[in-house]
Amino acid sequence: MPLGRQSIDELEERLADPSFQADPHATYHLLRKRAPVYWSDRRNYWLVTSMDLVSHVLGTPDDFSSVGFESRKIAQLNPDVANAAGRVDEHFTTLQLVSSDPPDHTRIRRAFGSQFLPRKVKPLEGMIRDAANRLLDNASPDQPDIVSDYAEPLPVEVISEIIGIPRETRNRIPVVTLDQRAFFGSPSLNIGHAERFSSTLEEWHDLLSAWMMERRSFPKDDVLTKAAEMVDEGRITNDEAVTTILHLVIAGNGTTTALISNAVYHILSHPAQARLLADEPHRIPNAVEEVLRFEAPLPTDRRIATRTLTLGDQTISKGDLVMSGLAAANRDPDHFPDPDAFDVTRTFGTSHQLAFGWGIHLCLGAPVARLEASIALQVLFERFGVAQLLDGFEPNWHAITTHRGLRTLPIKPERIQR
Amino acid sequence: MSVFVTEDCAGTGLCVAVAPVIFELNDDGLSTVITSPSTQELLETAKAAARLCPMAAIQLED
Repeated sequence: MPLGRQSIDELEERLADPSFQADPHATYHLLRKRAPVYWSDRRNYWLVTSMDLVSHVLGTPDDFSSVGFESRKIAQLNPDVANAAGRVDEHFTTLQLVSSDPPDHTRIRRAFGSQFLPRKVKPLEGMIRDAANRLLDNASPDQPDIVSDYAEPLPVEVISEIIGIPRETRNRIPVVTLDQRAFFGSPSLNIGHAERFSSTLEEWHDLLSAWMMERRSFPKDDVLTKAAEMVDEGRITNDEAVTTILHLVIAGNGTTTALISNAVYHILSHPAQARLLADEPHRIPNAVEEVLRFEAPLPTDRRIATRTLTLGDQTISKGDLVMSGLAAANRDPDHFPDPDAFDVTRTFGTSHQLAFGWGIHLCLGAPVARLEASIALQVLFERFGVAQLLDGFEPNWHAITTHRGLRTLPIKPERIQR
Repeated sequence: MSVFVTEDCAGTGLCVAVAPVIFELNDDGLSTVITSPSTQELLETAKAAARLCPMAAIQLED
């Protein structure tokens, strides 16, 4: 008997309980079992938790649109905050890759796609390895913090190299990432958040436009050069280019930090598996795939229903917000036997994990993230041996509404290789 | 009906995940058709891969 648009008290409480932040997966299992398409009154959206239904939502952009979520969020703000956020809509949520549907999405994706071809990504290996080694050179030898010493700065270096962001500006990347997170992730958005994010965006908009202008005279092999070329050929507008690059900066940063630190955390929590990977590093890419499955850095992705339709046994109304549970789908027992077991040797067969999404919006930077996480683990084993978690370490997770990642991860190296 | 991959392919690998019988990644990491869909079922799978392709790089022709 379908529930319809009706919340279940027990599930609402579990979603709101602080324990959901620590371990969302038990609740996801319960949701998948009782209501795989679940209307949450408190959150004001449908939450989808089974692999088949999540794949369907992400694979049917005609029914589930990517346009308008951010603008809607801004429209719901109180007028003072919305006013302070004025430039956010203009500089961040207008046409760009993440918040567009075909045909615009296809046009923008094609303009940037060539920068993430396998033959462009493979040669990044040396640069990533050098950056990882430099960071471990400077990490505290006694008790390095994987998050602040390694998983945070590495993606900043890598995405900056790919895009072409000059060295002296890179320290501003964490700022824009945090501002964005505070703006879209905070349940109680205030004028301060809005003003800060708005002015940071303004600054980045000017910087990126200026760098693209520079590339027209002095082209390089980077995203900025390619973007300027695409604008000049009339394939994308300058605003689309700048906004999409800014999304790449932010997306390529926080989520990869989470992936690397989640990987180190789960692998070191299983010492025998850590030892196996240190001894047989060719297994690391499969381990990264398992980390992506087990602890997806982006637990949910949002869509808006374009018409009234049926999903599972529920009727979704036109305009409803539908959250695809990527992390939940990745633990669907119908697709992954023993889904709560972390196993770096897991064979995926014909099943695929959804951490990078699915369908046309599949993460543009996925090949970079996979390579970067693999190299980060490899270098960590080379330099620190099989490190250990500190005795009694309790993970402190970020709020799951933004992303799934640890705040800190201090470790004890087995040995230090200089 | 024949299926082919255009030069827009960026090697996301999605088509290979959906239809490993029809598509394969070549040495450059780009998709190529290895089996032309001969049955209705395979044709539907090829169509699904085409719908999911981020680059819209899969085309079907009579």
